[in-house]
Amino acid sequence: MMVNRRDVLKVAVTGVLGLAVGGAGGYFSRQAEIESLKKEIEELSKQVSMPTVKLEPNLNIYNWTYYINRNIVDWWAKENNVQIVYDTFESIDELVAKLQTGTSGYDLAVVSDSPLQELANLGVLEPIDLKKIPNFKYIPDRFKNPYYDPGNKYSVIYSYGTTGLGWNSEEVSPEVTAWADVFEVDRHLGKYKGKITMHTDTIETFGAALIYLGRDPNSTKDEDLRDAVDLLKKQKPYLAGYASTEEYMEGLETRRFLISHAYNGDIAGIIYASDEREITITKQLEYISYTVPEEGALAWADNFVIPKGAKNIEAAHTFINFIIDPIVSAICTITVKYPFPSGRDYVPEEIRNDPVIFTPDELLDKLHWTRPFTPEERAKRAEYWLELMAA
Amino acid sequence: MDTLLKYIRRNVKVKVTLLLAPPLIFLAIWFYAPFMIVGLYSFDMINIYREITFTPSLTHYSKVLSWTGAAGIFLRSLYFAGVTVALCLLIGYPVAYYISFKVKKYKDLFIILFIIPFWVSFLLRTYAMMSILDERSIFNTILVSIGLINSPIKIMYTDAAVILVMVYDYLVMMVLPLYANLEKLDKSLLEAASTLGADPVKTFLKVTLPLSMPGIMAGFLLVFIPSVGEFVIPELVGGPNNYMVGNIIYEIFMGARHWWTGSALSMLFIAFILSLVIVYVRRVGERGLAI
Repeated sequence: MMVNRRDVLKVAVTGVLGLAVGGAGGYFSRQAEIESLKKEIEELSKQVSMPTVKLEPNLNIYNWTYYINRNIVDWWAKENNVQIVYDTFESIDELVAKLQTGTSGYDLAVVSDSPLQELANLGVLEPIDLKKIPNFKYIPDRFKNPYYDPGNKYSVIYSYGTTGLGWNSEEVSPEVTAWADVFEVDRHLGKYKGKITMHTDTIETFGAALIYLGRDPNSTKDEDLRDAVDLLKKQKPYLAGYASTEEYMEGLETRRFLISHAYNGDIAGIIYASDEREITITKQLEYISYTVPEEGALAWADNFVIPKGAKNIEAAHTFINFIIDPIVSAICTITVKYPFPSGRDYVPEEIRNDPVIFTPDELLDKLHWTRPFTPEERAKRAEYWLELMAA
Repeated sequence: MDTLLKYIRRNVKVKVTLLLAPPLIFLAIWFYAPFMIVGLYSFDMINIYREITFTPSLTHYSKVLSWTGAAGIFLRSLYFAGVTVALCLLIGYPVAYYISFKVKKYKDLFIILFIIPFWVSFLLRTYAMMSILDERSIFNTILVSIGLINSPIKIMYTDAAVILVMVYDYLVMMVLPLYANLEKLDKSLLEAASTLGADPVKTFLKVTLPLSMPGIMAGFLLVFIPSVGEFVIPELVGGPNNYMVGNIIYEIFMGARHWWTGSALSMLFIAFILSLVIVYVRRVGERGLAI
C-alpha cells in the first residue's frame, strides 16, 4: 500500500518517543529513509507539549476498554513521574454507577454525551479549567461547546461516532443498507435467521427500533415505546441474541454473526485488527463492513470529565492536554480506530478517508443525538425492555 | 481499674457480651446497614440526592408487582434453578454416596480432588466452560473429525448452556453437605436393615435416603438460592431468552439506574427466598442448617 511521506513521518513519531510499536515496524525497513527522517521527526516530537507545572504523583483513569494507545499512556507516566492506575469498563452503566456516588476515586473518566448531562446535573463532576488545556485550540470547532455541555464547563471531547450495522460482506447479500434489513422478515432478518444480533444497550436498541418506525429515538411516550417493543418482540425469534462489544466483535470476526448492531469504531477495530499497543493502518479483514442505516442512526460523543472528589486535578488536566495534542491524538486514532478529533489532519490518508472511522461531517449533522432521561423515564423504558426480555 | 477487670472476669454475661460485641458491631455496620438502605430505597425514603425523606410509599412495590414481564422472567428463573438443583442432586448424590460408603482409604483425597476446580475463580471456570461448549471447541472438532457426529454440537447461547454451566458451578454446594451428612450416618443402621432382611434397594430407600434428607435439603438451598438469583452465567452463555431475576435487578440498578424499583424488586425477591428458608427450617428443624 502507498503511504505518503508526511504520514509515515507522523506515524514514526511513536518510534522516536521510544515506544515499542510492533505494527509500524514494516515501515521502518528502509533504514536510510528513517535516518533522513529522523531530524524532522525530532522537530515534530517537540511539538508534543509537556507540562511545566508540578503534577501530583498519581492519576487514576477510568476509560472504555480498548480505547487508547497504552504505550503512549505509559510513556507520559514515565516522563512526568506520575503513577497511573488505568481501569476500564465495558458498559456505560458501570461507569455511571461509580461516578454518580461522587466518591469514585478516579481523577479522569471518559463519559458519553447524555450520561454526562445526567452526571453534571447530579453535581458529581469537577469543572474543567480550559486555561490549563492550551491544546484545546486544536479541537475542531464543531466539537467545541457541545449541546450536552455548553461552554465545555465539565468536559473535553474524546472521540465520537455512530451506532449502525456491522456486517459480513462476503456472506451477506444484497448489501445491508437500512434498519428495515434487520426488522423485516422478508429481508435479511428472515434470510439470516440466528445470525443477527442487536445491541444490549437499551438506548441503542430502542433507538434503532424507534428510528425504523420513524419516531423520535429519545421518545418516552407510551405509544412509541409500545410500538417499538412490539416490533422488537417480532424480531427477537430471528436473532442470535443481544450482544455487547466483546461478543459481537468476536462473533463477526469468527462469522458466527453475520450482521450486528454495533459501534462504528468496534467494526473498524475488527477490520484493522486493532490492538491497544500496536499501530496498524492496513485492513486485515476485508469481509467486514459497516453501514449507517439510511433511515438514520444514533450518533454519540465520548468526553473527558473530572469526577468530583478527584485528588489529582492538575495531572488530570495535563493528561487531557496531552491526549488532545494533534500528534498524540493521531497516534491514538491509528491505534484504536476511533477518531480523536484533533488528530484528523495527522493520520494517514486512508484512515482519514475511511468513513467507518471518521464519520463524514455531513452525515453527522443528519444523525440523532440522545438526551438524558429522568429516573422515571428510565424506569419506564426499562419496563418495556423487560417485557421484551421476557417475551 | 482492677476492680473493673475483676468484675468483668467474674461476670460471665458481661464477658460474653464484650467478646461478641466487635463481630456484632461489624455485622451491624457492614451487613445490615446496606440492607436497611435497600429497604429505605424500596419504600421511597431516599431521594435522588441521597437524602433520607420520611414519606414512605408503596408505589415501587405496586409497580414491580404490576409488571407482566417480570412474572415470566421469575418463572423462568425458578425453572432454570429447579432443573439445576435436580441435576446437581442426580449427579451429586451418587458422588457423595460413593465417597462416603465405598471409598475406604484416602477419602479426604477424593473430596479434595472434587473441590480443587472450585479454588479457581467462578468467572474463570465459566469462561473455561464457554470454550468447551463452543461450536468450534476442541471437543467438537475431535468428535467431527473422527466422524462421531456430522456437525458440531451447538450448546453455547442456549438455555441448555445456562443450566449446564450452573450445574458445574454449583455442584460442589450439593456434594459437600450431602457428604457431611452421609458421613455422620450411623452405618450400623444399614447392617441392622440387611440383618432384618431388607435388600440393598430397600435399605437405601427406607434408611439411607430418609436419613440423608437434611443433607439433601441443605444442598438444595445452597444450590437453589445462588442459581435462582444468577445473572452472570445467563449473560455469558445464554441466548436471546437468557434473562433471569438477577438480570432484571441488574438492569434496573445499572441500566435504568432506578434504585427505588430495583430495591423493591430485591426486597420481594429476598422475601421469597426467606420464605423458602422458613419452610425448610420448619420441615427439617434447625439442625438442618447446622450441616
